[in-house]
Amino acid sequence: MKKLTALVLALAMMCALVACATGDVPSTSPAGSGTSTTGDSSAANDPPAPNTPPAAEKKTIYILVKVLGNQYWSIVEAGARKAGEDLGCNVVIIGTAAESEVEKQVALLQDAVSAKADGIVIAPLDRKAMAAPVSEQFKAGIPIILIDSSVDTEDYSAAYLTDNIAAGRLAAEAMLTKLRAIGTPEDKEGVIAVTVGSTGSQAIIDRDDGFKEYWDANAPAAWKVLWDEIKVNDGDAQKALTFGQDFITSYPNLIGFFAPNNGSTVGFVKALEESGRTDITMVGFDFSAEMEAIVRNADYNVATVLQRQYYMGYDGIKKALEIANGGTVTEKVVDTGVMVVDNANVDSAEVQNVVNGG
Amino acid sequence: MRKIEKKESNNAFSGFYGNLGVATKRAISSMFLLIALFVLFAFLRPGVFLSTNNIQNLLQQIVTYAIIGCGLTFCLVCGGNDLSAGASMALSGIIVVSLLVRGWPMWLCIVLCLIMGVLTGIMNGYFIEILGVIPFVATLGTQWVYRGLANGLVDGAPVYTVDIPGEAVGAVGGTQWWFYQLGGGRFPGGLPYSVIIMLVYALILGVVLAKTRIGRQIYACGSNLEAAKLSGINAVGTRMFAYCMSGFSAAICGILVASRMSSAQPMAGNGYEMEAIAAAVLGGIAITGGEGNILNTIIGALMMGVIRNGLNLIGVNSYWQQVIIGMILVIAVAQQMRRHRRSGSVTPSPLRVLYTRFFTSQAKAG
Repeated sequence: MKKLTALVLALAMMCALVACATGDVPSTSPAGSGTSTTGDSSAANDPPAPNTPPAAEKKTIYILVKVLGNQYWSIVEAGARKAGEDLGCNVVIIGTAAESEVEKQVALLQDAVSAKADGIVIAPLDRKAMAAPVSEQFKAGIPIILIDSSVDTEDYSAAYLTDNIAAGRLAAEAMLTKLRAIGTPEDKEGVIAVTVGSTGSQAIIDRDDGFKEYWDANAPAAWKVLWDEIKVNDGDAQKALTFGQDFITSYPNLIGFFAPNNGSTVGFVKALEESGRTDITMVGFDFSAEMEAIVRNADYNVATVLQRQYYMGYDGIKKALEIANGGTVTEKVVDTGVMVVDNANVDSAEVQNVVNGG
Repeated sequence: MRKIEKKESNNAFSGFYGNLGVATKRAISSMFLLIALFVLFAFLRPGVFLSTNNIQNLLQQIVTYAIIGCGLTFCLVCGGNDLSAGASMALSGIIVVSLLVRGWPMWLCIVLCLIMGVLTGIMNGYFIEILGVIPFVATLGTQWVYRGLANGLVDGAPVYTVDIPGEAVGAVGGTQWWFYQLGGGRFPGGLPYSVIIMLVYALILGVVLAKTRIGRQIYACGSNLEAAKLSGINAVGTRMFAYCMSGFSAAICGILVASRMSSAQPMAGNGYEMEAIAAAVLGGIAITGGEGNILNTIIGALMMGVIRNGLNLIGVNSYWQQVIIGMILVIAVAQQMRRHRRSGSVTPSPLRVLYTRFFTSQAKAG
């Protein structure tokens, strides 16, 4: 008993200290697959339990993001929460700890169904592995909205996606434009280095393919992308930074960096800043604080491809709610679109609108 | 048995402390391997690998593993383990940056963060020493606790140092600037401050482990816990101290990484504890406890750094790098075991070592 008290005390001590650190502590999630609930105050933390039916017609929408504790997904989550507030439904956010945990996502999907969700918004981790589970739940009559990534089945209600191949092409186009803008000699050998979060993610594969396709068709023969030496950083920005440093050391003729996902982008940006190499052109993805800082710095020749993931979260919840309330789908697959942001247009109303979630 | 006894009594530190010699021998053999790696990569990438710039980068790249590894060395030497170090590092980073963006003075944030690191160590120690959970399970559990806290406190989103209130962004001398200097600043020649921090920290821990009373008690606990208790050592307190050192090191590392990345990422440091353990083992720390010192860990961290950096420079892709590093880890340790077995300074099985220790200490006492 004494020991138990001591244990509780130790925990309380820790919690007290960290609580000071953040003021308003949100309902937290245990590392792996947690749940954080938002929406309207009353039943917010209480998704419909068998004994206590939810108040009147208030619907509960589950959203399964890919990875909790990740900057990209935190923006999707923000969009989903906003939709919950605006439309007056409960939004329950769940997710896995790593992109590789496909099995856990299947379990989470089943849990959401068991919890009697009125609709499910899901970002499938794997297009093949998630096809059967998604199809099964859709056929059982639950509205399922895909966001961010697709699956190999037609059994879903609607999808809000970035066309990643088009995004990759756009990135290659931006890279070429920026290289030519600073007068990089087209007959001199130059290399572009690449780091990726993982080589199994369909989004990254598509972006790389789009980039490769546009590059091979339009780039001068002397400019080569180091596809054979692609470095995998597991989404760890510090690892990406290490790779960036080593690329700079290794290739005196390095003219560009390409990073097709957020963690990779942050690492390469840091590598540029630490080495002070303003002559290296870079194209990354997403708009982290690091990216914003370097894009605003006119010394660097950097552009980023912006996805509209806030709207994936927002529109995903909105559409799920509509269908749950008996609405119909007019457009099944919606391309949420991308845009290229650099020093010239970063302050434009259009970009600011996307960054700050309209 | 007789042979071993004789060997031990010849040693200047007989009894409990007879292990220092072994660790140094291992450090020396690891050092040879390290030099071989340097020569190999210098040969494969002449003029690039040994350039001042690359060596400075290399040193900066090992800072995280080396600092976490130094703390972990205390746990490993006293016969424990700490799998929560990476998560504890992320939590520390989140705490220090969260406090900074609330406008708290930098010194206070850092002190609170370090206290937090020690608290994580106390929590680990409490579960292991007081509640009797084995270190592997206890720290596996707390790893999730700390990772969950790090994520939960900030709702999964990173915290940025650009949000620190006050001075203009990046103004020299402001809080932001000072905080960035810790992990990202460099001397005029290009040597990062964090490398110096690492070396000084390693030196201090090295002295604590090798030359002080608490250090010797840690060796005693790691060699033979029962004998240590019988000879009047406060084993609970000693091992508690080891876990606190690990938590403290993770906190330092969390501050440095948050500083260098200008942000605290809740998923930072994922798997770093394993890298640190690998570095320690590569440098010659015995996973069974009682052997090894900080020098081993630093050499091990350097080896990991050289292999990673060298393979990057010769253009080996990430997956094959993992294969190579894994093989080197196992072969290096096997080689050390073989060499020391042959020279007789290490008996084949850890059980027998423990038994011998127990026997000799009894004989000394009587």
